Amino acid sequence: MIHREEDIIRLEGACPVEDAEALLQHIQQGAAALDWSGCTFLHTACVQVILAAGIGVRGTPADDKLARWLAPLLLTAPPPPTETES
Amino acid sequence: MNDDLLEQFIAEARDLLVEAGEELLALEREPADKARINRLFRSVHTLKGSSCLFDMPALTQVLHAGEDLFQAVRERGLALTPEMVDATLSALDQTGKWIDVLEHTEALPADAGPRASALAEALRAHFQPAETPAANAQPAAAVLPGSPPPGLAAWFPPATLAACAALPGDLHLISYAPDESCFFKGEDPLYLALHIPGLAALALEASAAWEGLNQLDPYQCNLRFHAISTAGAAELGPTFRYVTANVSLTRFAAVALRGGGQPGLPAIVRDLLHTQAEMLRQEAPALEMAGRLAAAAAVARHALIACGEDPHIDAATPGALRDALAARLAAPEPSASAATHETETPAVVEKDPGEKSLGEKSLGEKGVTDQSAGAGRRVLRVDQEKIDVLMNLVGELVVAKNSLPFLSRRADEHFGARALAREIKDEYGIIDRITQELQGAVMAVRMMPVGQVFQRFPRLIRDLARKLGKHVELVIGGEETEADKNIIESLFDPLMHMVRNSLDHGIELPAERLAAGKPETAILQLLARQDGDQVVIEIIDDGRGIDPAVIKQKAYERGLIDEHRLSVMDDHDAQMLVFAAGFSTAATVSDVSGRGVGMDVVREAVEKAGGKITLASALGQGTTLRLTLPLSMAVTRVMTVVQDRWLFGIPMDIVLETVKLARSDVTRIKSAEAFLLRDRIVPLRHLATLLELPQSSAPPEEIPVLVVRAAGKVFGLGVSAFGEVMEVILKPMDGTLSRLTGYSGTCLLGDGKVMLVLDLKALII
Repeated sequence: MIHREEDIIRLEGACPVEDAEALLQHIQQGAAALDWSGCTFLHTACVQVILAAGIGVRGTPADDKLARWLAPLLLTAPPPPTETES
Repeated sequence: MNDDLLEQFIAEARDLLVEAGEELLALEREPADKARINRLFRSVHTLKGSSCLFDMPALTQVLHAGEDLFQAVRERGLALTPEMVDATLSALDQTGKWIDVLEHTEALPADAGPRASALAEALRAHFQPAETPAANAQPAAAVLPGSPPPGLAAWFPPATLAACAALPGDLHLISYAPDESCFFKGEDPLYLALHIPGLAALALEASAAWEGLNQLDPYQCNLRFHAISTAGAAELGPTFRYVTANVSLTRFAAVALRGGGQPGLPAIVRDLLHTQAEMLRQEAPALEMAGRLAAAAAVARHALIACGEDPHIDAATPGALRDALAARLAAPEPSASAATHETETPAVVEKDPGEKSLGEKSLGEKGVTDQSAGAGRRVLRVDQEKIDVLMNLVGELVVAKNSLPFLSRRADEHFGARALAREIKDEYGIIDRITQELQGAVMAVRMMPVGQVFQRFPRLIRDLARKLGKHVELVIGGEETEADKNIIESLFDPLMHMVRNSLDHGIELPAERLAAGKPETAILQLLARQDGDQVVIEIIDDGRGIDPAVIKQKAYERGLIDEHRLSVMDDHDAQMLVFAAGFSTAATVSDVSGRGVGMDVVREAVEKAGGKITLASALGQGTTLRLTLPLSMAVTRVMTVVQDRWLFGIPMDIVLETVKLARSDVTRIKSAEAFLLRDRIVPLRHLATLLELPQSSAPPEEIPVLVVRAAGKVFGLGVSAFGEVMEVILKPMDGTLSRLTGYSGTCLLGDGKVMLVLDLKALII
């Protein structure tokens, strides 16, 4: 599930493949950071959006595997103010 | 898509393909050559790696199969068979074709996918069966007993690798490149990756560079995964059973990570580093120590550059360097090598400022440093068209420059300003010098080694020889000889025809050779050398030679010569008949050569490029074909001569000297005239007679004579007056004028007039 709180996007519970598009839209609309503290599952498509956007993540996900293996591969919030590279 | 990146990739891919092709052919001859296998593997591997930057799954698939094949050859000692070489060559060919298509359309053709699968299958057919004896749906695992798989350092941070190195036993590297459309099949690659049994490290990379978010399609998978696992192939297999085609497994020993300071540091580099450390350990006077330090630092840096590692090492003091070397040789140090995250594309290595001052002292190691520095030489890739534009501009500058002497003369004669005329002349001298240097520089840029053409022949000859059932060894020499790009480019077709002819007609079948007392394997030599301002290229075979009697008979049958010539023609002239149009000696038309359009086309092409071709052949011993071509054909130096009121140009390269003869010095021998030049009788011809120009009434008392060498003969050419020597852009006669003999072309003079340049060879016949 994706929630938007001002300029923070919250990933909560399971974020399936369908969430990728919404996530992309939120980021395009200028969200500054992602908080994935409540995340238990994140689909590859969502990870791809996060990586492509170069946006940082905040917090530690609820899922152990995500926390152990994926977290080190993502940027940590606050994200750099630069635009994404083309 | 990033155009610059694609352009770079295309240029790089071409180089790598050529390299791979060469190594492959060499390897077929010497299958045990480890260094070549490594280089071949690296070319294909680099190519595959760079191809991943773009969305070209077909290309990557083929290269990946090739990479796997050579990894199997390299790591498992799989014997290289001619069939494997064939399969690889056709894969490389297809890749080359795709690269050509890419250059024009920026995308692969629609049928690339199926083709790629077929090629990849053909490649895998050669090693897959041995790989998975159980033939089940498990991904194949290549085994690297000693060294860790390449690429680890690029995917995983050093700390992770260090942690993996501490694990016991063997590890598996899993590279997982999901299909782009995998999300639509309900796959979740990350989920799969996170559930790899025995997962010890995970890395993610983008298959193609991320484009802007606006272009991002979140439902196209653009991610690839690399993982290190402690689990065995049996455990890993089931995890990936639905995506076997996208996964490659490589087994390697964890110890291998521990052994190399940087994962993948080759043994030779380790040895080198070790030797440097040893050298620094020995006591020495301070001055000598400084030299040693510089030498060791330079060697170590170049060795590291050579194997694609981070060359920055601390070389402030012998101790520091020794420590740095030890660190590289020992377990990886996360902090020290954190900066070494680089992709496999050749990185531009910045020179350490410290190296320069120290490096210059290390004369003792110069050989080593120079050689390895070659790898890092800075090369600028420039579009040929830009060079051509530059060349044309230089050409125009030369013509414009040539107008200054005219101006100077006008200043003197029309305006009586002698001082100004002289000043103009002085200025002209300066501009002339600069123009010449500029021209030289541009020419140098256009120079290409003949090897560029030669390198295509090993492949051609291999294929032809296999097709014809002949054994041929190709010997290439002088490939570093340089000539103008246009000349080099005009060379390939003629050379190919000649080589084909040699192979088809000249070289005998193995049995025939043995019967004639020759070794079974024929030797075909392709040699180049520079001779003055010309390039000489020879194609020498040790085949059956050209039988003049057979040639004469064939030429007679085809109506190329009449009965009289048939009886009087000497052997050499008879052999030269092979260059006559419509001549073909092959009894049957083969698809190799023998369509009767070979050699006359060759002669034409060579002559068009301003060269000539000669032939020498001894029956039973072989044939030598010799091409002589100008080094450059852009600018011609001509001497201008005046004949009455006409001005002509004569190419400087045939002018030997100029003399002025008194009327009385000319001797008549029957109807011919001659004169004595330093105890030598030189025939004298008059330009007016040769060109059938109306003679001026009174013969002058003093005749200006140009001594020239044309068509192998030295003779004097009487003219009315000598003009100046100038550089011109020679434009060949075209259209209806091209049929005129006696002129090699026209050129534009500084005052806008057109001057004819004579072809004396054709005139004196």
